[in-house]
Amino acid sequence: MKILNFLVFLFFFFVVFLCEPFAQSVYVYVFDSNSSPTVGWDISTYATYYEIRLVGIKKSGEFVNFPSETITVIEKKVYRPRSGDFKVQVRACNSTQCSEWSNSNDSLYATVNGSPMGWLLRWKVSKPSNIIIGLWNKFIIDFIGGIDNV
Amino acid sequence: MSKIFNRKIMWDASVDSDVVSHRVYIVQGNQAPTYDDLNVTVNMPKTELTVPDEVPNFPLYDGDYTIGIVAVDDWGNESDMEVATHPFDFIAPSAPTNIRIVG
Repeated sequence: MKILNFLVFLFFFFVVFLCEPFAQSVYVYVFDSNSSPTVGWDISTYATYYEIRLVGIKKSGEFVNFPSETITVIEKKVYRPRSGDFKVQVRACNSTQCSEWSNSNDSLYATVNGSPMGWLLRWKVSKPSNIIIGLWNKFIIDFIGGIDNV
Repeated sequence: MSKIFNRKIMWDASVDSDVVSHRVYIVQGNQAPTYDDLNVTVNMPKTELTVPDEVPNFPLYDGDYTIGIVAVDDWGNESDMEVATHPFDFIAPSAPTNIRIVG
């Protein structure tokens, strides 16, 4: 009986923890593209939840990872984290492992209107406003050899 | 020697909290500045620039100048450009001549 119980334990251990298939990488896309776009992705076989995060891309090329969120549905509205360009990363997970991150700027894992194409989200820096040009109570004196302040 | 009055350019800062500076582009004429034109960086919280004093190689000229200002955040991103055209006169009139003492 003990041997039988042990074999049953081994069977479930093997099935549940060792043989659980890998979650597949997902295809990410964006829709409802306004100031708070919604990002969606395909269902991944064997996934029980997904992780999504934004990765900021500085002009220098440096990446800045933002905290990931866990979600069980396959779309997420994303809100402006700050100004700049961002790629979206999504990965599929189950109880034992997660897939590789799918990057929205990688045409292997991203689509635009159904066609393979990488994309980024850009939240613009708001521009300055209300330029005023006025006189200033200083003046310069133009000598033959140059300019000097008074 | 002639005297040329400086002019002060002022603006309202970008409302984004991650903005660290503004870049002021200056061109002669009415065309919108490009990113290759003469420019100077003004660090926050300052939001004014005195010309020609604070702009090296500022072209002294009598006519319209177009000023374009962008906000720059701490990641190096630049905003769209706010543009204004304004007449300046940085050429002093020629000096009077032929001073005469009469009587």
